[in-house]
Amino acid sequence: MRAVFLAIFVLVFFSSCATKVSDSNLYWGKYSNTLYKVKKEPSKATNAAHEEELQSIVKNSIDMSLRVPPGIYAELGLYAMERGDQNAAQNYFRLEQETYPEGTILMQQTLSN
Amino acid sequence: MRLMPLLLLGSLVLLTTGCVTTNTSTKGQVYPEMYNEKPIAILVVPAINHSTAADAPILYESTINEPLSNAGFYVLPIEITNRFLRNEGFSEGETLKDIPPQKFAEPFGADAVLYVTIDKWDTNYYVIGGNVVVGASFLLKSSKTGATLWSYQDEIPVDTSGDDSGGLLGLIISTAIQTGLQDYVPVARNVNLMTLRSIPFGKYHNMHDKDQSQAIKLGKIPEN
Repeated sequence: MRAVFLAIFVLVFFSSCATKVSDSNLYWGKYSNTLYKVKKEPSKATNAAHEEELQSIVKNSIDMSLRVPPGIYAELGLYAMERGDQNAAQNYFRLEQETYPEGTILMQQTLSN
Repeated sequence: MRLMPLLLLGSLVLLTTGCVTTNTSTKGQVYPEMYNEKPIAILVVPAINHSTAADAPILYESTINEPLSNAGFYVLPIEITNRFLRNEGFSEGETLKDIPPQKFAEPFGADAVLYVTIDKWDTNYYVIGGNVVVGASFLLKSSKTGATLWSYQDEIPVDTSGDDSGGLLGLIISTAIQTGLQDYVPVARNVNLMTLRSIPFGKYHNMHDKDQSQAIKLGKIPEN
């Protein structure tokens, strides 16, 4: 019995260490850091690192059954748009809007521009 | 028995001074309009920078989405709203300051607009470690009426020593500050986090509309 408790404790302990989730149940990864680097020194490398971080936030959120934080899908949509991938962009903007209906007006505007 | 009036007076003095120094403000008392309007979608406009740190506005912009969303709001994607604002000729916060939010917030679907003025960003470094003192004022205005829903102003010192063990690490960090290589993202994150402690929670927070009685530490309430 004791061993089971210990095992559960260790499991809970380590799973809580692995990924940081805010008290409103959002996972942000290194979002602020990679975004700041893009703004400070816009380059292929900093943009690629930020886009990768956005993808990782989506993946981690889905894995943990969390809502993807505001703006993450929308930013991925912008990257797709810049590559000329309209389908992917539309898909991301739709996901943002589905997750947060409050963003509907803005997402529609972005698509029509 | 002659002691009695003195004791009474003494306790009266203690009681009244106690009333003065104890800050018992609650979110509901200070920000009633937040509970009336219940804004959800927030448009974050570029910061007004009165500090000497040229980077302060982009530090703010990179770190505000996270704590504001964590407080339960939907932050309209800043990378998108900034592009629209730039196209309209509003790339700096200063140009937006005097325009009523009703005039530009509607096309974004925003319930409220967040204005920030950074007054101070002072880096202090010592032989070991250092700190940054950030002074900023935040104003959240209704995009329906233009009224201020929430505001907060404070000067917040953020320790940048990183590690209290000092020694070699402290030396490396203080050198980093002197050479401008210090990572200020955690500083900006801390400032936003501390400031937003007083905001009534939004729809996506489980304490939404249940935090009226929560006590808050008040900074100064900035004027419009």
